[in-house]
Amino acid sequence: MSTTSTLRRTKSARLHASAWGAIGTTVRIVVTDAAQLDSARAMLTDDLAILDAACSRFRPDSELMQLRANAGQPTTISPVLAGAIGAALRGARLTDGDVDPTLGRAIETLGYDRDFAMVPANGGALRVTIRHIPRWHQIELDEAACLLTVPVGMRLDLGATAKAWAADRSAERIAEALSCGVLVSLGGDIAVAGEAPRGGWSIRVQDVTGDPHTPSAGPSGIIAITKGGLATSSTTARRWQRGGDIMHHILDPRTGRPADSIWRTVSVAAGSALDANIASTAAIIRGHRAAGWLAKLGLPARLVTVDGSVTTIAGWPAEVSS
Amino acid sequence: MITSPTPGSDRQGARNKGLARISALTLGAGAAGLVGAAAIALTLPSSTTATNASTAATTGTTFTNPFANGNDDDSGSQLQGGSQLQGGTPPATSFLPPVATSGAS
Repeated sequence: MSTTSTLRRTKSARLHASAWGAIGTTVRIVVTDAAQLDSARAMLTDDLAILDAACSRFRPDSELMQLRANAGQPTTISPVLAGAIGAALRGARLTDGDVDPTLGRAIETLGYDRDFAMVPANGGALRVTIRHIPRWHQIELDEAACLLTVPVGMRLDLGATAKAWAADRSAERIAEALSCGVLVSLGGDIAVAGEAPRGGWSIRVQDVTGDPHTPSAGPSGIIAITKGGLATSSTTARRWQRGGDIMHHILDPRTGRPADSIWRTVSVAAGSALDANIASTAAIIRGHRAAGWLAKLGLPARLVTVDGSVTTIAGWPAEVSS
Repeated sequence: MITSPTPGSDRQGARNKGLARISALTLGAGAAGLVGAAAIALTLPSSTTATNASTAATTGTTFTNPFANGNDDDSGSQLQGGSQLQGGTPPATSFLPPVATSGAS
C-alpha cells in the first residue's frame, strides 16, 4: 500500500510526503518542495532496491547470501554492501561489540529466518544451542577496495544498522540532487538533509512506528530536528513466540538470546541516523548502564522502561504528549 | 643376522608418531571445548532444559551459550583513531503536527 499526502503545517510551510512498504518495513519520504516529491520517491525506491539486492538475508540471490559460498576467502563485493558492512563494523567498534553484525545464525535459529511478515506469531518450541557466536573483529573488510573476508560459519545480519545507514545515504543524495529539504524514514530510522522547514522536522517518538496522524497507544512525544538523524530501538516490535517464550529481534551478543533489558524503547538523536541507531540499539543491550553512557557521549535520548516510565537525558526535551 | 631400520625411517616414524599425538591433542581440546560449551545452559522461565543443537520441538525454548562472558565494561565508545558516535543539534520540543514517527517497526 502506498500513500501520498500534503502535510499542512502553516501557511508558509507545507511538506509533502509519500509512504509505502519496502525492505520489510515502512518507508516514508517527506520533502519541502512538492514538485520534487515524485522524483524523490523514485530515487529512494531505486536506492532501496539496490540495498535489498545487496544486504537482504531473506533473498537467496542477495549478495549477502551469496557470500556464504566464499566463506573464508577474500571476496570482491559491491560498494553498497561494503558500505553497509563498514557501517555495521563501526557500530561494533563504537559499542565494544554490543551492536554485533555476526548474530545472523543466532537470529535464524530463534526463528527469524524470513521476512518478518512470514515469521509465525506462535511457533513451536525450540531446543537451541548457540554453539558459536563469531565475533565482529574476525571480519576483514577493505572498504575502499571492496574486499571482504567473512570467516567460515559466520552469518551476517546487517538489520541493526543497514536501514539507518541507507536513510543517511539516500537523504543526502536526494537533497543534493533535488535541492530541497528531505526526510527519509526507514522503519523509524530517520535521516534529514538539505534545508529544514521552518520549525524543523516534527517527529513523533513512540514505541512502534506508525502513521504520524494516528495517535500512539503508548507514551509518546513530539520533537523537532533540523539536521542529522534520529533512531528508535524497541523490544515492542518484531516479536514472536516459540514454545510460549517471547522473542524479539534485538539480541544480546553475550548470550545470543533476545536482550532482557530494563528498557523497552530507546530513542536517540545524533549527527546521523546511523550513529543514532548504533546508540539506541546499544542502549537496549546495556540496560542500566545505558543512561550514563549516553549522557557521557552527550547524545540526547529518550528511554522508556518496560513499565512505560520515560527518562530523557542530554538535552532531549521534556515530554510533551501528542 | 640382525637388521635395523635405516636412520631415515626412524626419523619418519618418530615424526608420524608426533603428528599423531598432536592430532589427538587437537581433537581432545576440540571435544573438551564442545563439552564446555554444552555445559552452560541458560533457561527461560517457562522452559524446559535441553542442549541439543538446532530445532527439535519440546515444551519450551532453551538456550545454551558458551560465550556468556559477563563483560560489563561500559567503555568502548572510542573508535580506533579517536572517532566516536557523533552528536548533533539537540532536538527541540515541537508543537507542529508530526510528519513522521520514530519507533521500532
